[in-house]
Amino acid sequence: MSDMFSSLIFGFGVALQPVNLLLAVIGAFVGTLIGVLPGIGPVSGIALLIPLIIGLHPASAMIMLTAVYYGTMYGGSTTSILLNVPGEASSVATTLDGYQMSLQGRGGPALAIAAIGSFIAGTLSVVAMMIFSLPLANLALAFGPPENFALMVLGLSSVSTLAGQDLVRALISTVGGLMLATVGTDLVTGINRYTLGIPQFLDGIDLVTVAVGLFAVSEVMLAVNMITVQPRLIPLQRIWLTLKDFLDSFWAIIRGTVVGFYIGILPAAGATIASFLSYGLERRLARDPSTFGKGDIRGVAAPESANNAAAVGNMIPMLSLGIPGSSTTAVMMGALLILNVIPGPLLFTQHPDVVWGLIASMYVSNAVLLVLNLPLVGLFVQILKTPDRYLYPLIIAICVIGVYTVSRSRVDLTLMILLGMLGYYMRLNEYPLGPAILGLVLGDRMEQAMRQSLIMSSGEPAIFLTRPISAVILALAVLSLAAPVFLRALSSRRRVS
Amino acid sequence: MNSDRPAAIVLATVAALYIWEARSFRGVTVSDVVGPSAYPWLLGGTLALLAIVLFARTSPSTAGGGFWSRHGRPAAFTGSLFAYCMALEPVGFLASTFVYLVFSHRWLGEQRWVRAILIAVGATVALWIFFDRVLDVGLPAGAIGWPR
Repeated sequence: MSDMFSSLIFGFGVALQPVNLLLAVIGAFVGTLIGVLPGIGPVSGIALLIPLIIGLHPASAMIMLTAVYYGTMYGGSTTSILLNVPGEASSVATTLDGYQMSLQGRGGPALAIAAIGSFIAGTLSVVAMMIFSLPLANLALAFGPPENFALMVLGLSSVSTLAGQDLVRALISTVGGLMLATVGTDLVTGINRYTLGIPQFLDGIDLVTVAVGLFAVSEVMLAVNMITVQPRLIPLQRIWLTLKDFLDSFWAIIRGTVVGFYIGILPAAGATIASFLSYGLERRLARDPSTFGKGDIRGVAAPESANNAAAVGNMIPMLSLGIPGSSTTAVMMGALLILNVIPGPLLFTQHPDVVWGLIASMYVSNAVLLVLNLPLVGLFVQILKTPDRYLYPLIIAICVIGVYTVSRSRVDLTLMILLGMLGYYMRLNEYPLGPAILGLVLGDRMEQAMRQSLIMSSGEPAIFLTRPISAVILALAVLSLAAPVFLRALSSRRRVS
Repeated sequence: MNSDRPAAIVLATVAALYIWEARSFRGVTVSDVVGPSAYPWLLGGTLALLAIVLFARTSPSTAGGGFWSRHGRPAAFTGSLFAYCMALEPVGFLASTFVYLVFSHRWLGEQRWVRAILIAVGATVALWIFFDRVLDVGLPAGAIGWPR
């Protein structure tokens, strides 16, 4: 425990260096902007920033990206409350009561409780994160290639199970991402695979291009069919809340934090599910559930706390196991890999400044966002007032600049457009996009782990089943795929009888 | 008619091509027992299997409506984006972005040319100053160019 305390002090030393503090402030601001803007979410937003962080020290880069991630959460809730437009999926639950509060002229308290709830949740779950991640990393240190392979299979299978309505479509998305990852020079033999003779593909398909094409371009493609109505903006009064508001929502914040954190640790479950679960929990616990959906402040406090706590929980498997649990953490992990920092159990010993600096910067980001965003809400509202016909083309131009800087070639731009069309098709036909990004980020390491395992066993695939830990993890993976099918069969039989 | 079937056929074709290409991968290292093609075989096989499931099962047809009435605007958007991307290097960032923004603003509902042009000028210059001057990412100057 005292070890952890001194590590945290060390982390604050890193996070509070003037450069890093400045990056956290910039990141929080840019992140909020990304959260507020339509068409560009945390995945494509963080991906677009990757080219800009390449020269930075890894700890500084992660501090900035974490601040961006946190910022998108705040930005998403702002639009949910004021416009009934959730910037991100994880703030959909906030619209239910948040927008109602705005309609009743209580938008100020709603924004304030969202910020304060997120702050409390973020701070508490960072403490929990410190306690959880080190033991988990120590456990994972004993893992060899077979266990790591099994762990990645588990990560991908549980993401596929939870990401969408339809398991087959989610698995197709996952395999597609893994296949994209095989493009490029094979690290073991040095031969080129699936490069189609295009030199830009020798280093593999770039994460920035995929994230921007699949997520941002496709979203704008969907949106151009709908740009007609102007969102109705409710005039905003003072952003503060009464003591009664705070006391009303206090336990909702605490419960939301606990639910959010634990859901966040689970691979794939993430912030969206956490926010809905905690919203549902509050409604069930309420003495009079009929007030929910009509502007109950607990209906804002709970999901907002939960999604922030989940964002922290999400970091745990990424940092300590090297397995990201959501598409956003997958992109952050991609950024770390680009900086030659390999997330996983060794990260804690090899790059303590990255880990502890990042953890400390979560506290710092929380504080920065609280101080920065409450006064700046007016500015973000102004941005929201900008009509979509100006915003969308501008966002596309930013995407083009971001992807162009990756390789300075038309190849990546063309690929971005093709992936945008693919993402458009996937969105329309309910193929989840997250698993594809996860597959792309994990693909290389998964193949390496598989091949190293088979070298260990001289080509005998049974090695994955004869080693106990790997066998248990693979069994869990099979279970995670089979469980929904089984449950559905069970419930339909019950309905018949 | 199962509306997933065309997609299933495309996916099966992709899987077949993917595996076909993997046949030519030959490893040269001794210790690497499975070589560079085993993992692609595994992925291609899984995709083929998923394509068969997608083809065989019954799923509800998606909503009707003509292709162009549903996808016309997204297609036009994609076309203009493609033109913008291709013009970026030869014409240069400033001119191509300006033209792209003006027409996009108009197309997405701006009634007045003057306003579309003014906003496009402002946005283009702001992007250029921020990315090329402040962040120094090196945007393409193109045929027209700008002071270095």
